[in-house]
Amino acid sequence: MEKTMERKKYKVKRKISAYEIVIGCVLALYSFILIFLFGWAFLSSLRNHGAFRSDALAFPEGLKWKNYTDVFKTLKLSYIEGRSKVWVKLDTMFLNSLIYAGVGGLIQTFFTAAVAYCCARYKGFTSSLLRNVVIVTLIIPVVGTMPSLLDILHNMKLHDTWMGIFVQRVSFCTTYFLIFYAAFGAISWEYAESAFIDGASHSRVFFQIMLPLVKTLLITVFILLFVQYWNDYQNPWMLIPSMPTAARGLYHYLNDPISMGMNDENVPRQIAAGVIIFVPIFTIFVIFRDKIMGNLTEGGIKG
Amino acid sequence: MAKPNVFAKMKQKGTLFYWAIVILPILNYLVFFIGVNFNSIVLAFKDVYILKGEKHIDWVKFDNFKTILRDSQVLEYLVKNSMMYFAVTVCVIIPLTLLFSYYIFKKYFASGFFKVMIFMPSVICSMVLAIFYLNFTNEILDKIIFKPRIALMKKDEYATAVMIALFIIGGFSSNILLFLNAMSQMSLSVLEAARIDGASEIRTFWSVVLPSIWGTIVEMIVIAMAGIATQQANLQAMFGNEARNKMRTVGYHIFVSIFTDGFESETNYPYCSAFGLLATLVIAPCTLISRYLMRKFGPSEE
Amino acid sequence: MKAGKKVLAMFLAATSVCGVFGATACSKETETFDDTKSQLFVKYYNGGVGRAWIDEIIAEFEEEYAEVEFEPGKKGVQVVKDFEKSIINVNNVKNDINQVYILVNTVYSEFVANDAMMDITDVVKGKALTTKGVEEDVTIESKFSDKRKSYYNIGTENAAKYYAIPFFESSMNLNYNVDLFEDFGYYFAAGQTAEGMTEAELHDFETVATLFVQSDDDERSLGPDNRTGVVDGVNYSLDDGLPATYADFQALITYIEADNIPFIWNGTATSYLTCFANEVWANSVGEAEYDMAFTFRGTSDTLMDLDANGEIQYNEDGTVKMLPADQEITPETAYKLHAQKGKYDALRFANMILSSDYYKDSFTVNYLDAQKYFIKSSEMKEFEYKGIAMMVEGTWWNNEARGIGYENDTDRKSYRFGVMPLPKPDASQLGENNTKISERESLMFINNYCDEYAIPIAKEFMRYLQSDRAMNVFSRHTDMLRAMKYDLTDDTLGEMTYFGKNVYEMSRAATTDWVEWMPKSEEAQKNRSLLDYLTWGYNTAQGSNPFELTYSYGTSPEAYFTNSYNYIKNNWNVKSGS
Repeated sequence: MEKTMERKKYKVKRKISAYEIVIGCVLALYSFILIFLFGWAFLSSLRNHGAFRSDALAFPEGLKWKNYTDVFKTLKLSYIEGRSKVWVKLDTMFLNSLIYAGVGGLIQTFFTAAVAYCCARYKGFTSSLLRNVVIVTLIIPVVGTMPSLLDILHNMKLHDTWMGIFVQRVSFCTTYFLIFYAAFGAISWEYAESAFIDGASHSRVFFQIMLPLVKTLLITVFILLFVQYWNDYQNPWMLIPSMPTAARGLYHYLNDPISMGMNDENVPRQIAAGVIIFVPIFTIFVIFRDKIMGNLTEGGIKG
Repeated sequence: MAKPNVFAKMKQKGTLFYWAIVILPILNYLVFFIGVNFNSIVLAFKDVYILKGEKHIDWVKFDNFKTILRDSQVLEYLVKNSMMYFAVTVCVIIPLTLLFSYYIFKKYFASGFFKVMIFMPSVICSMVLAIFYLNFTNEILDKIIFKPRIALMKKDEYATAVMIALFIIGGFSSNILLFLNAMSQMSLSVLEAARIDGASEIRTFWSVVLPSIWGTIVEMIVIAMAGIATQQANLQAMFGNEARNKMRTVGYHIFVSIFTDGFESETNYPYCSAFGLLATLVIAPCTLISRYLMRKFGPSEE
Repeated sequence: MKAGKKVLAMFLAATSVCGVFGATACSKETETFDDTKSQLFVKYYNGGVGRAWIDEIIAEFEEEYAEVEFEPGKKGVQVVKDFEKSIINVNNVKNDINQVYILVNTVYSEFVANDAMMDITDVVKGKALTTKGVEEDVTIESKFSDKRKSYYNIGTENAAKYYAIPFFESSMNLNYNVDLFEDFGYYFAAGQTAEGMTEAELHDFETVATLFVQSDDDERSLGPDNRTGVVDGVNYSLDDGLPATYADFQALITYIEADNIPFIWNGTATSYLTCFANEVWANSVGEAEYDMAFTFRGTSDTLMDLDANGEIQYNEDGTVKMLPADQEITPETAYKLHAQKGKYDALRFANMILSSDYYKDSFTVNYLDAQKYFIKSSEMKEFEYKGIAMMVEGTWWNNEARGIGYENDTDRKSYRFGVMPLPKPDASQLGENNTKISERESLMFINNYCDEYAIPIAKEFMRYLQSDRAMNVFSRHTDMLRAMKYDLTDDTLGEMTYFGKNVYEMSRAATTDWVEWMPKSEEAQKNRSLLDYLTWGYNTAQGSNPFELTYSYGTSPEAYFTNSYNYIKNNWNVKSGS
């Protein structure tokens, strides 16, 4: 007890560098801008449209949650299922978003990593071809592909099914391919060679040695893909119309509130809808941020 | 003498494993990229029009490309703007992200808080961020800076500044995680050795950290370069389909050009496909060459 | 402490998730179809036109057909409504459950070419149903205008083929506040005109004030049609007192600015202003001249004589130099139509508006707010209780404003707004007809992949929608007109607002010519993408919106004209006919 207290008394003071000061200030400014922007947006969501238009900088006149209750009550989408018209509300949309983003993100993360590993560690014509195909594919801006895609999905009886979405996620042509490619390329092959000598198969090396070594990158990419798919509204609208996601619901709410029972397009209410979609995922991110961003002392492969 | 077991040999070399992994993604690519996009790409050499309720598709060779190149003034704006956003990415966003990443990696003051703040814009749906930002611009910025307000999004110089600011605000989010991850793969003993040797933070960052994560930096630049022709720079969110040519990027222009009367018309696909192909023909070799050069001549860990 | 933080964080997460689930109560609501009835799936673009009219017609249809057996074992029809504010991609129609579509911004030719629309020639050649079993005397085809007949008939005169029926007629108007005009006397007095005044005089309040009526009893000027009263059954009084020429219009702006705000527009969709500029252009050159933009052929009498740099030249008296009449226009030279004087006039008109004391938020205001301010600004403190005299908006605006502009129907009927017939560029064109553009392709059709059982129901419903009675229901609710030939009954007119009645009178006036925004020749059909009504006409390298670009770059009408003409000429890439 006494020794601990003495150690605490003589705690070494770290010298603050110029780098820390300058970058810290820039980060503080950036954070201030974001807090101001989001804070202003949130406070605006507590106001009515007329008050907002006449003075956008004023504080709300008390905590009025009418915009939020309006969104909860009215945000719903419909589709036809058999002999019924089904109205889907926000909670089901959140569930659909979780499946669309979560499962889809997982599948795509895995396959991107796997193919990148194969290209990085198993050199040959196919690997070079695949790597260059990725780069060229990322460059090509292709338009008007949705009709063809829908045709293919209909022909394969995969339209409006989760399987249709998951099948499309078995892909490798994403920007993260290059990241995984670089990461696997940097890992020493000695680990694998030792394992081969011990009788491990190639698949075992991949799953039990290589993948764990890029665990944090896997989580990172998964999170990035998750967020990307969470916010995607166009593809779910076209590909899984009977399983609307939260982003699609939000899109319709922003562009067509009248068909959901509102009588106007109300900016504070639009912001409230945006906040509702944003809060759950942001909360999850804040809670698990250390897991997401990784323990930064782990993952070292040298030494 | 027993015949060599081909299967066993393949298994030993990893061929079986390799193909077991890549076959499904390759099939996926063939179906969902080549299959879906093949027709779109071929359309670049065709003309689609409708006469008396019948669709006509004619081969026109390079006419679509000539149409695009003839409109040199608009092309100039598109290329300029696309390159501007690319330059912002490479000269502002990536360097700042690196500096921020190192700050967070070193766990300096409030790094945990900053980590959350930087990532926050990517968590928000782009259409929501655009609503926040558009209303902030119209209702606050415009009114505070100008009296009476001037609809600053209608004035190029101010609108460009606003769009670049929005681009930068949202630009750190995904990059930071990747750089942090790359830094986490560094050997801490090397950093410790640099500290013991008396190297300053900046010196350590420049001489130790950057070379260690150079591969990741190269890939981020390559990704930005590859995205020159697809980058829409939030124009759709802020202007809908009505951004004037002087503000447009190549990616945005291709996207809105598919519409006639607010309706996605297949008669416009050939023009858009040709534009996309032209952009690809220019950017693809530049990207591949740049990648090669950066990897070859960039700093190395040694 | 760490554990405590984690617990708090988990609690917050759980709360937010539970909050969502709790607040939304049931996750799904199901409306099961009535198994005793046949279903008809209808998709309707629920935009500014609103849904009240179609809800009423559907309710009547369901009631009247309650005992009709369309499928064995089922009686009656249940209409399942898909009333979102969205259109459908042509390629999605074949897999879509909807059977009848009532849409806007839907390119007819493209849907036909992709087999999305069912052949409804039998419906069009047949008669509309006033009620179940009661046919009208005339065919639905006879209600098409000649131009629409020619456009919608994909076949020939003898072997017609129709796949859709036109929906509504709309134009981009300069709507004016009749109450404000009456209260402040914004009408020209008889015999008064600002023609001949200098720019300085036109901007001087004291000078222009003498042009306007001083009391309600003062006689008003003749307006752009240069006549008044009813002559041979034609009412020429609709435009009495309104500005007849551009000079008059400038004088009016000066006069209004003293006490009120002259203009507002909906801002965020600046393409509306391009549409409006085209209205001004069409009104300047007239129907026959403007129509050449949709045929790429003809002879033009209104082309300006430009120099080698595409710049406008002037005569000694200051008037614009014109080419001789009968200038031939072919598809290859149709870019010359952009040398029509009407385009220059439209740019001058836009410049007049932008140089005025218009509502400064017009470029950023939400369209519903713009409507609300147009209606109520004289009652609002933030406008210093000034009225807004004119608003650029589509014909649907008065119905759309039910949302936040009007408190209720009674409120809505208490205001008076009208569509201002646009002034002529100068006195030499007085008496020419008022030319308007019917834009945005809206139509109704049946899904070519409609279920077998639903085809007779869908056709019956289509016939039901085309009766004069149903069209009166449409007009009564929306203050707009169907794009068909029909008359409004006294009952309908009695229930419409002042604006609605004004729209009807102006639309049906013998002094109004309509130009339909649709390709009218093979060459025009082949080059359909050139005829985008949202962007056509004022293309420059910087963009295509004359109001926005004038505002952004401060270009003069002359410079903008030259810029645009040269750009269009240099990029004219029309596909020739077959």
